[in-house]
Amino acid sequence: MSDLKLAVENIVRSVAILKTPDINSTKTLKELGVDSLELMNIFLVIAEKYAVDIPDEEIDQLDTIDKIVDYLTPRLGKS
Amino acid sequence: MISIQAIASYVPSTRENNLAKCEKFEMEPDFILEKIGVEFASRAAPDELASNMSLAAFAELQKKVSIDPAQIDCIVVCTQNPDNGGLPHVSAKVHGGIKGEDQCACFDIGLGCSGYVYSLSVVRAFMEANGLKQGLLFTADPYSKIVDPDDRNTSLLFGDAATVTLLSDKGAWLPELFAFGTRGGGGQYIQKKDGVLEMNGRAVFNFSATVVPAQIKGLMERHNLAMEDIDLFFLHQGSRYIVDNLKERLDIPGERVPANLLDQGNTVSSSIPLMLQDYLHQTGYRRFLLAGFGVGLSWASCILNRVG
Repeated sequence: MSDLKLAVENIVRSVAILKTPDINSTKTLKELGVDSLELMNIFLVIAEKYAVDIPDEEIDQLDTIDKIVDYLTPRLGKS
Repeated sequence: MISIQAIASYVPSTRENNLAKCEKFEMEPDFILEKIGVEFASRAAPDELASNMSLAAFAELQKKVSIDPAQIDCIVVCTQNPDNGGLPHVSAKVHGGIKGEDQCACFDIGLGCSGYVYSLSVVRAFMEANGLKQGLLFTADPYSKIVDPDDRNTSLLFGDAATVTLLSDKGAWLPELFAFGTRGGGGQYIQKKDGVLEMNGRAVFNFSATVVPAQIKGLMERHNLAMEDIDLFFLHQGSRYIVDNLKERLDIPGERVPANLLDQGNTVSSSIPLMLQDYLHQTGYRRFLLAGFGVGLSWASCILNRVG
C-alpha cells in the first residue's frame, strides 16, 4: 500500500466512526459508515495536510479512498 | 468600567421536533442528536418579532434585577431580522416598550452569530466614551422567519430566542481583550437570497474549524494566557459537530465547554448569552473566553474577567 493511501485511510479512521475496522478502499465512504459531516471533516483534514484545495463540485466524485488517492497523486507529484 | 451585571432570556415555548423529520430528510436519529445536536428547535410565533421577543427578555431581567427604565442610558439590539426591515430600528421600538427616557441612546447592530461578542465591545466602548452608566444589550434574531422548512441544511439547525445583557458600572464581569475577524469574500456561504436563508455547510464548517482556533490561540498568546487560565469556553453553538471539532482542535476538555443546543437549536447571537446567564453568579469562576462565528463571514473572541 502506498504511503498516500495509508495516510488517507488513517485520516478516514481518525475522523469517522466506521462500520468495521477494516477499510475496503473500493467501497464508498458512505458504505464504510462515513456520514455527511464526517465527510466534510475528512476533506478539510486532507486539504490542510496536503495544501490541496478540493472544489465542492469535485468532492461528489471522490466517494472512495482509491478515488481520493487517484485525485491527490498528480496534485502532490507522487506516484 | 462598564461590565456585565446580569443576563436574562426569552425562548419561545413552541418547539419543532427534529426527530419527527428523520424520514423527510433521510437522516438517522443518531445523526440529528449526536452530530447536528438539535432535538427541538424553538420557533417564534408569527407575531413574535425581534422587538417583542426583546421585551419578553427584559421582563425576565426585571425579575432578576431591580431596574428603573428611566435610568437606562442606552439600548442596543443585535439582529439581522429586524421588525419591518428595521424601520424604525428595533432598539427604538424596545425603548418605546420599556418607556425609556428621551436621552437614552438606541441603535441596532446588524450581525449574526459573531454579534454578541462584537456588541459587547461596541456597547462597552460607547458607554465608557460617553459616561453612560446603565445599558441594555439585546440579541434577538428570529431566523425561523427566513428558514426554508424543506432545507435540510438550515431547518434542523436554527432556533429562535432573545437575550438581554445589563451592562453597568456595577457589573461583575468585564469583557475585554477582543479579537475580530471578517472574510467578506465568503459572504455567499451564508446569505439571504429572495428572502430565504441559504447556507453552504461545507464552506461554513471549513471556515469555522480553521479561523476560530487560530483566533483563540492568537488572542491567548498575545495576552500570555494558557488554556488552564480559562475556566470555561463559551463557543457559539453552530452545531454539535462544529463545537466538538473546535474542542478537539483546541484540546479543551469537554467539561469546560458549556452547551445548550439540544432544546432550542442555534439561536444565532443569543447562543452565547443563553449559556452565559447560567454561570455569571456561580462561585469559583474567574475567567471565561467567548467566541462567536458565522454569517459575514464574521468572527470574534474576547475574555470575560471577573472584577466584582
